[in-house]
Amino acid sequence: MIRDKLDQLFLDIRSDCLTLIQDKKIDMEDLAFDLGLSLNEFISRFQRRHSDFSFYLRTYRLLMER
Amino acid sequence: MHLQDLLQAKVNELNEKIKQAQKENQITKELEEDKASCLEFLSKLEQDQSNVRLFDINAISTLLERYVLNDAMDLKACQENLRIIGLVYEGILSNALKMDLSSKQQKFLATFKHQLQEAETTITHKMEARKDVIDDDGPLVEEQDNYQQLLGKYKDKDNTDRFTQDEFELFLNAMDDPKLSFNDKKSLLIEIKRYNDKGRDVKGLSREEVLDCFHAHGLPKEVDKLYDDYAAVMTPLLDTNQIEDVLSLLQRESFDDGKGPLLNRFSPASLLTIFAYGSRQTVQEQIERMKKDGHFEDVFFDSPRVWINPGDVIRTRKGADKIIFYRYLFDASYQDMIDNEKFLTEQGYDVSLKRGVGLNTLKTPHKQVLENYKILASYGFFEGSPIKPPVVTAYSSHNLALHLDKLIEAGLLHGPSTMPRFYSEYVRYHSSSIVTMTEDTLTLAHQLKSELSEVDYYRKLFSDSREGNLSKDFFVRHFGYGHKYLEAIRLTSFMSMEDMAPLASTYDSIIQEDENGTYSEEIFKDAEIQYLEENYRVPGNDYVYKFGTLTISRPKVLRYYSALNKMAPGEDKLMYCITKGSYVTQNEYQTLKGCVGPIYAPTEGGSHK
Repeated sequence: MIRDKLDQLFLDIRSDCLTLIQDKKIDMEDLAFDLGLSLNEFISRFQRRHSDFSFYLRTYRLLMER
Repeated sequence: MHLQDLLQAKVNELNEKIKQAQKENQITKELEEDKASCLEFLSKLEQDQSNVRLFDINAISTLLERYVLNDAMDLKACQENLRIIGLVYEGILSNALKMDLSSKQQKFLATFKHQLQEAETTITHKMEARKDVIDDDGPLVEEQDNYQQLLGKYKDKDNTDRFTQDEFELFLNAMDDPKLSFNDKKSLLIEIKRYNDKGRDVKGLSREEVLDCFHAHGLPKEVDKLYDDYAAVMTPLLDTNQIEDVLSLLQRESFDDGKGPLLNRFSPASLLTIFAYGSRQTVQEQIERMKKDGHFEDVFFDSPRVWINPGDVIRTRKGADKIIFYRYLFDASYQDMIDNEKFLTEQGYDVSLKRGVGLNTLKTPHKQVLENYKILASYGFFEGSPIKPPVVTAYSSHNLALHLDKLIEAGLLHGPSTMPRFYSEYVRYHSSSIVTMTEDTLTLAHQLKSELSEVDYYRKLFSDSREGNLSKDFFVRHFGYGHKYLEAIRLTSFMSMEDMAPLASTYDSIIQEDENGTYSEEIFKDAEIQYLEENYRVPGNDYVYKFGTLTISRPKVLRYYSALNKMAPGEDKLMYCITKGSYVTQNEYQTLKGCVGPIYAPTEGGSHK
């Protein structure tokens, strides 16, 4: 139940984040650096839902603030 | 199979029958004509053999061809013979020739006569054989008309007449068809019954009739518009006579306040609710009550519940009526508003029905206002000095106690005494936050609280420059997430109720029934509560338990524990009372477990602590 909800929220937040990255022309490497991750790790977390959901919330907030 | 199919099939079938009957009718007519001509020829021959010369050879040959001769050669010979015999008689009679028919011709005539007789006999036989054939379409056409009308009536959505006995007979006749299965017949009969049941309930007003009625009394366009939005559900509840009654009363009546006829003062929603659920009587009674009390305030005209008797409505109407207007039935009544104004004025609030001050709260059911007053008192809003009473809108809250618990747990009400009062008593100073602090805001506050130290939490939450106000950054952060992702925070940062107390849903249902907003003093005799009181109370603060960094509303725990007093004591029950409705992180949960664990751990003496 919770897993399903989070899967759905992951799809939503991923699509919102990617739209923001595109619209605001954000440099992914910078963003990954701000989040304390390598670019590879950052991208892999967007390919499959990572167990720490707060990562997506942090990314989303950073993107909203830029 | 449906009634409509049955009727349509019957109409089609009758159509075919009518066509067939018309064909048969044609055949009968031909037979009758042929018989008549046969008889005519025969009688003429009987009279005088010489009449042969006057015969229409074509007509005769047609008759013979149809009924006697099958051979074309014979027919031709016959025609030839008749023509020659005709000529012979012509000569004899007109030119007085002395001649006679040859013996061969005499013989032919005898045969010819015999053949005509034979043809006549054949025709008579044929006609007899057709005795049972339906060649009259009259009754069929009539029957078809009946079915056609019935079909029309059934299809006509505006027609609300029930089926008559004659029509029912028609159905029975149509159903008397061996091709129809038993189940088909059964479902058809049920359909007839349903149709007739429906016919009884529907008052059968059309949208136009309703609108005409509105226009006749000059109601504003807003009423039409609102009606159109709910036409489908409202129309069955309306009755033009009743609307007329109410409207003429409202047009006639006025109060002594110089504001003209009452009709002009009603809001569209009030009018429509009165039309649907009220009556002339309820309106009349209310007008008299208001005249007697001298209350002519505008607010009553915008409160549908004042003008109807919800008791009647709830008794007589069923689930289908749960339309948008239904919610008005749970608004405050006239008496509620008067009582609210009196009560709140006594408490020192500036509210007034007349001036329209504090209307939202005045329009809350009186019972709820009183309950909220008790809750506010029990959460210490009328204590301390100087007393700073809560804003009047707080009295209109739903689930006020639950909300106050969350504010306590966020450290914004009865917070730590080490912090300045305008932080830890934020809700007391800004009591409008009882209404404005939403669940989303609280989620975020709790998330910050779980991430930061106490000092940093308040620093982050409150503005540096405007003392006692929530920081702008906090709200930016709030909106930065977007409301939809606060759900994700709730799911990922905090423990779910089921994880903390597996029997949560069972307790929930008990609480729903038994919780009455207060707690009994008896519970303080229980070991579990005694343990919490002794170990986790904060000195000088009646409103919190403190488990490590986790703050829990004390009134909440006591209230739930009291409501669950019939349940056997146990860790699960206590954990439920503590964590219900709270934001608890994984770490805080572990701390909490460690705090309540000793209650259930066996002591050296074998008994519980």
